[in-house]
Amino acid sequence: MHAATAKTPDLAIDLTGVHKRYGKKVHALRGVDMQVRRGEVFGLLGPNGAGKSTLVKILMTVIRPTKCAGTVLGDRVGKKSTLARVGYLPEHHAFAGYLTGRQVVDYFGAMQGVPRKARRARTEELLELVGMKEWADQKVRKYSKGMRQRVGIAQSLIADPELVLLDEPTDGVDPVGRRDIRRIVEHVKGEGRTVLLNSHLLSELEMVCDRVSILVKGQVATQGSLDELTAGDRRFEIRCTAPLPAAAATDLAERVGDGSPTSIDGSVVRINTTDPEAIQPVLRRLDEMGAVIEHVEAKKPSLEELFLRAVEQPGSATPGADRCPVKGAQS
Amino acid sequence: MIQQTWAIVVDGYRELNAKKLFWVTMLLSGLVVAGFGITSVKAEGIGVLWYTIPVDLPPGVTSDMWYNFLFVTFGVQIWLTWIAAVLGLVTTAGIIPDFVSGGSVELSLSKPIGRVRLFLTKYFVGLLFVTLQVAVFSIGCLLVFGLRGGSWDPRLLLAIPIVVCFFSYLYCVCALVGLITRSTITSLLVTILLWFVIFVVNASEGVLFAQRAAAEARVEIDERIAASMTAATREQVIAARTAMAEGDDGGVEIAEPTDEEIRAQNPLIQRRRDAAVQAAATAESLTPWYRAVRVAEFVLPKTGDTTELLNRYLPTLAETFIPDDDDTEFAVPEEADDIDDRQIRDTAQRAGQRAMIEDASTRPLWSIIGTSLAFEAVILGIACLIFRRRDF
Repeated sequence: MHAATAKTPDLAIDLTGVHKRYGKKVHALRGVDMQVRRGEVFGLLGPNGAGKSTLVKILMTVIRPTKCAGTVLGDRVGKKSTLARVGYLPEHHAFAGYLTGRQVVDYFGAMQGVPRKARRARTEELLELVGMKEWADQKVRKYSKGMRQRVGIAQSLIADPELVLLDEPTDGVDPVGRRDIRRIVEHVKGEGRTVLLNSHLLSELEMVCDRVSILVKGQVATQGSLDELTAGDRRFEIRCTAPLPAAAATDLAERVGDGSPTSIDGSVVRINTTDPEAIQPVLRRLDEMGAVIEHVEAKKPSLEELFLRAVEQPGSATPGADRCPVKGAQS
Repeated sequence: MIQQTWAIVVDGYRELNAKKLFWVTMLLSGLVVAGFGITSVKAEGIGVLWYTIPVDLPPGVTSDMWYNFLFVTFGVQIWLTWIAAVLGLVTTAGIIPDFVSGGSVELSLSKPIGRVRLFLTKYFVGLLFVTLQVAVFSIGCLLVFGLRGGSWDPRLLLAIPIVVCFFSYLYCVCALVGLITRSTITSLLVTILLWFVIFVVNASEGVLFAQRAAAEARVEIDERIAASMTAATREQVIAARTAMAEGDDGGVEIAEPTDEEIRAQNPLIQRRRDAAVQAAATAESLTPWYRAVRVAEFVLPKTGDTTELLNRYLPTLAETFIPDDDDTEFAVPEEADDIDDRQIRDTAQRAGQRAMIEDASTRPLWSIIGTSLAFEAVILGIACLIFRRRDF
């Protein structure tokens, strides 16, 4: 492992060139650069086998990197004492069935070095937060998947961590449970903690994440805030009640205030701009042409569209995003 | 640091507490102690509750000796080191494989605790099972023997470290295999196989040692008899020649008989010498095998010798079964014709057994506990190395 990079107080996680090889054939991570700001909710996306869990496990010292330069909470990756300030919920976690929910939270609190008195108070507080107080004295083996996830989240927060890594926290959880977990994540963020969320549920991530990173084949395909990632694909769509003549396209394009590309697809006019001022002349012209405007909408690609594009066209750059977008940026 | 260790210990106790086999073994231990408690030494024999079984006990047998005998021979060497040990292995074999299985180990590794310390703490928690079992058993025996027979011998508590040591020799292998294979059944089978190998090696070493010592004793006895016969025959020859010389008017010098003349006079001398040579050859042929087995025994943990240590510290009836010195000494008869081959062989065998018992009972502590703990340290070192470097 390489020496830590210079401390960057505004970053909770700062990774440069993380590699992980399994033998000579499998190259799970191929130089991951990733920066997570303090106090944000950061989404880690990627298809199965992209290396997301491997990356999270490297941060938690469960897996040893082949090569890694970077810091977690200002300390080099792999420093054990730093983990006292980090909470973690692994994917497919298995708590001992002979323990109760309260004992699970208390046990991992003790393992993280939380004093007994503080642990007891914090356990009650967290069980209340995750909605498990009523079942806290039942054995874990009697819990549903959703209840286990809630207890898992509670144990990840027991040490009052600065950084929380949640690997598929909504896995196997029903919609109500997912909503509750989302609220918990928002609550955790509200307390000023940094959250790294690894999930397949893109709509969930879209609702809570400030920024995301999409990992494809062991590399960061794109990284940034949703606004940054979708900046190049934003457009206005004007839907009319009847199809417009194709020849009107040139006329309308000349009237767009900022000269953005314009196209007509049947009854829909698409203008690739984010500026509402720029489309006002087009709306007036359509009115002059006698077209009846049914609907005007500012469109941006969903996270799912971004994800699919990154996975299916790994080489395509996303305008507005880059590999290291936040180094030195204002947080 | 203490907080984390204590948390793992408490968790280990909860894990054992949740296993039915733990309580079944504890209950059986209680029954064994109760079984000891209903016996007593009486003038007419062994008392069991209100009945007396007429047994000719060796003279001087006291309640202390009887209870110590029960404790060491049945309690420790049969119950704790065989039956309870197997139950203990079955109960604890899953601790390490369960610990390193997916979904469980990640959380432990993600805590601010070093991997080596985490593994070793988990390993020693695995020994908690046998520690609790043997502690309850020994304290139970101490109380029962004290209350029933007035025998308050705190040396019974030596069984706790001795049996825990014995169990740890096996459990370290169980932990290593469990770590490598993540399979409870594989770790259990490999451990029992190793235990069997240790048993075979120990038994072979004992048998080879006794046979070699018996062969050497036989050489000594046969040579002693041959020497005795030679001296007697020489005297007979000289006496005959003296008588003959006196008949020839005397004054003739009596010639000393040669070896050939003595052997010709008594063919049994050659027979004894041949037997001695044959026994020496047997001893010599056993030596390389004995040395090989001895090396294997030296390397492997001494499970049997460790539990036998209790015999050194607790006076028991077992001592009364050791052959007397008189049984291992062969008295050469005056008449050469009286020598019985079977008698010589039996005496040599007894001498061999006695030598084996003496060898076992005089081995230094370091060669029993020290080499066994060295074996355990090597196994645990390998396990720590694997655990430290493995990705989960």
